[in-house]
Amino acid sequence: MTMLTTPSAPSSSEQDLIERVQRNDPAACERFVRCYSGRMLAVAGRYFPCESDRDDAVQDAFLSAFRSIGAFRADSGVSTWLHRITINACLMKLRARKSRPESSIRELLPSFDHAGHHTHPVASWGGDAFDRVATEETRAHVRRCIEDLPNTYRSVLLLRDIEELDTHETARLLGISATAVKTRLHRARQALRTLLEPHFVGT
Amino acid sequence: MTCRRIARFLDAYLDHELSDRQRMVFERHIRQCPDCARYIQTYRQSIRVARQALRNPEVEYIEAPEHLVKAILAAKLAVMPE
Repeated sequence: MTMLTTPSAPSSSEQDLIERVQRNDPAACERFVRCYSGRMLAVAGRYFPCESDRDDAVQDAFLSAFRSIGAFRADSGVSTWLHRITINACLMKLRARKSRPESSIRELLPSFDHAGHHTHPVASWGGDAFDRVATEETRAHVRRCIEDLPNTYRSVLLLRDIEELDTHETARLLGISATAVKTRLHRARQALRTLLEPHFVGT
Repeated sequence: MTCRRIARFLDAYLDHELSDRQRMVFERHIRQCPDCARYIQTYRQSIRVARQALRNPEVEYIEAPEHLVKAILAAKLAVMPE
């Protein structure tokens, strides 16, 4: 993504803004919101096509940022820090929605017979699978399939495959082990493939 | 090597974490098993499709509506008075 995610220290102007926000300077707080909301809305927009949900997530993210800005350390960029806070706010908002029970992941995984062969033949997807993602209808369908994943699996898939965070960063954000991230990601990808298949199977 | 093991070690294969020997055994099975070849292809396609559906490179910045800026600052004031 083009949001600044390189873990470099804030520039002197960013540092100055942060210090003024930490002192609860009203003008600085407003500038902080205006300066960073654009990129945060773009991130939240990936999770919430509905504008009001997207805006709510960004509002939650800013409140979280204001509450914790006293602990902000100058060893990473402000954008990187806010990116993580925004993702967390989005994941929390998604978690609050009704989703499939965690145990239901099993029925979305591939099945094999006693000899270890696929139980059902595996079909190809149409060669135009990627062209079809260009339509809003297909994007909406893919988004619904991702939302349909059980919570813990959806979170890992969003962080690893959409936000492209590495395994250790994902583990840190979710408070789980790197091994758990890898296992859940694999199952999430398999489950998503199962959910997407009816839409893309080749014609 | 079975289809079940191919599916199980798929991410390790795609992330180049298998040894040379393991990769050879893996790829020999894929060459001989059309179901596994299609499974790997569609597994990779589903990752790309998800990324393409959720990440719009044309939208990396959205101008915040004025009402949202005001709502954020009002909410902040409610929890952190000046």
